Amino acid sequence: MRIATAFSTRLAIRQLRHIGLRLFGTFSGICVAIVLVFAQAGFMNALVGSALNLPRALQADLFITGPQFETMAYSPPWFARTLLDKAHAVPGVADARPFYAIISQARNPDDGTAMSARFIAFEPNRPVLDLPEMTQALPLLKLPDTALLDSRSRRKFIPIIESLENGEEQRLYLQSPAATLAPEMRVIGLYGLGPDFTIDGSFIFSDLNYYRLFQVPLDRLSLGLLTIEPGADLKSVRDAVAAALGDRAKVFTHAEFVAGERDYFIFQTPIGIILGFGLAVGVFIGIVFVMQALYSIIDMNISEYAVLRAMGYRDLFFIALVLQIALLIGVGAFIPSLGITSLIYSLVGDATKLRFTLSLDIVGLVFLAMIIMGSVAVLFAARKLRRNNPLDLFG
Amino acid sequence: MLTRAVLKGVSFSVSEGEVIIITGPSGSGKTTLLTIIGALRPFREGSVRFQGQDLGGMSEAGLLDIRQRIGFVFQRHNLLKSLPVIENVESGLHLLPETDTEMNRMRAEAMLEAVGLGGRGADYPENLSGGQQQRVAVARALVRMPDMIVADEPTAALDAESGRRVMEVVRNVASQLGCTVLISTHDERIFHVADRRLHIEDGVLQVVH
Repeated sequence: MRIATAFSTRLAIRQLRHIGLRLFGTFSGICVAIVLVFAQAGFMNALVGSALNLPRALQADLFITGPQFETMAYSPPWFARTLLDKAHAVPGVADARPFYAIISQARNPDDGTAMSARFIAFEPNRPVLDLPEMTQALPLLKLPDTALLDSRSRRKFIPIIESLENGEEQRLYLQSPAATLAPEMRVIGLYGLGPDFTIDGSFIFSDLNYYRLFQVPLDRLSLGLLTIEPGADLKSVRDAVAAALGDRAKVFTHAEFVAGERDYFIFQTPIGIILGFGLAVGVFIGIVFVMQALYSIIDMNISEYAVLRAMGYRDLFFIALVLQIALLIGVGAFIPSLGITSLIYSLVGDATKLRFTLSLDIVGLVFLAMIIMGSVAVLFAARKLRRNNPLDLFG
Repeated sequence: MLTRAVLKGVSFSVSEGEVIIITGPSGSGKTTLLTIIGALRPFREGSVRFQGQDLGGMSEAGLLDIRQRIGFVFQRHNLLKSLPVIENVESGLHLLPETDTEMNRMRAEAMLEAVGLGGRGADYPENLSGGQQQRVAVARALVRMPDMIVADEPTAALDAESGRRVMEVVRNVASQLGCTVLISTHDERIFHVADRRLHIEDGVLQVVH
């Protein structure tokens, strides 16, 4: 059974060219829809990605957490250091380092208001991050009350970053739950990691300074970071550690830990729902506009299509025709949308200090969304196409 | 589905190459007759034999196959505005078993020549006069070398001169191809091209001569 595919392609191109600029409004609408989907996907990626900065940067093959651990977004519940020693003893584990994290406030030196920040700490002789500026400053971190500030921190931290860049040490008071008088830390340098979207800034301490300032006993760990021996099998070491610790701790591989954080933000917070909704709205708008383009082309040609049908062209031909028109419009709108999106990404990225990258994942996702727009529009248009009846051509 | 007897006792046969004009007031069943013979409309009772095949009770796919051997011309030319004239003519060929890009182009050019529009292939339909457009539509119907042409009021939208030329073209090319032509019309000026005229009134056939 012939469906004259080559002819359908040619006709699709010709009809689009024929309608030309009259389609401009509709075409712009489709671009808006695609850019909207890009924006949502970009925000999702940037927001969730920002929250993953720290977990991704931690140098570990396996993570140990307390049994109630849910996310790094809040101060993780502590677990006993003895568990880390137990894990260290498991065959295949090369090293086991403690990691501390707490969310608290520093006092703004200008106006005395509180600035929320994440405070992380580890043993300076056994660093858990591999950041060049931090590695250089490690010896200084061993001095009492010293700290490093994330150079990409936002808002109220920016004046502090600027004076640090000028080589001036900054003294900041901390809100410490246990101290009678607010302890003072000396911020002596910067490191670059990038803030997440919930908290504007973060500081690094040595474990001893962390204890000094927050008075959290050092045998209460936030995370335990394990490296495994070269050649050891990751999954079987994980299982062995999990078996050794029982239900007093949870054990994750690095990939599992990062995925867990991502899932937390996408499924446990409104972010996933809000951005998912935005994405759906974008796709919906796209469907409406593609449909409008198809309808106007079908309306212009309905009796011509009926003649083709009289000559023996089948449903499949007309579906192939509108499908190709939809794809041509979609791909045509996709390219300028990509340009607009990269502009928007760089503007919003500068404004938020979040990372907006036009990654292959995002482009692929949005392209898929565009294909969905086109296909759904074609489904509706196919119903309209059924109405081209050769019998209507007779006077 | 409701059924209604539109045609009553209509019976005639047409031989190869014959040109038949069907006349009758609106509502007489003329269009129904034409669409049934053109394999466009399924029917319940009676029989229509097209080259020995009975169209009655035929599936949609079977009717589609029959339609490959029929050319249609309508009151409006219904040419695809986005395609140049030559490609409109070629649109009649893509579904034929012998379709071939180069051969299609040659056949379409020859057919445009035959309807007096040689060299106009690259023009778009909107740049042609009404009579020329209708001749392109005739070329599109004839290019597939059908066994039968079904034309519904082909000259209704044309002035006398253009209408006459269109009918001449239909008559000449059809007779060269040995193609049967069925024309429904009110246009008395074209009665003379027919071998026979059938008149229908209230679904009943009256042979005029």
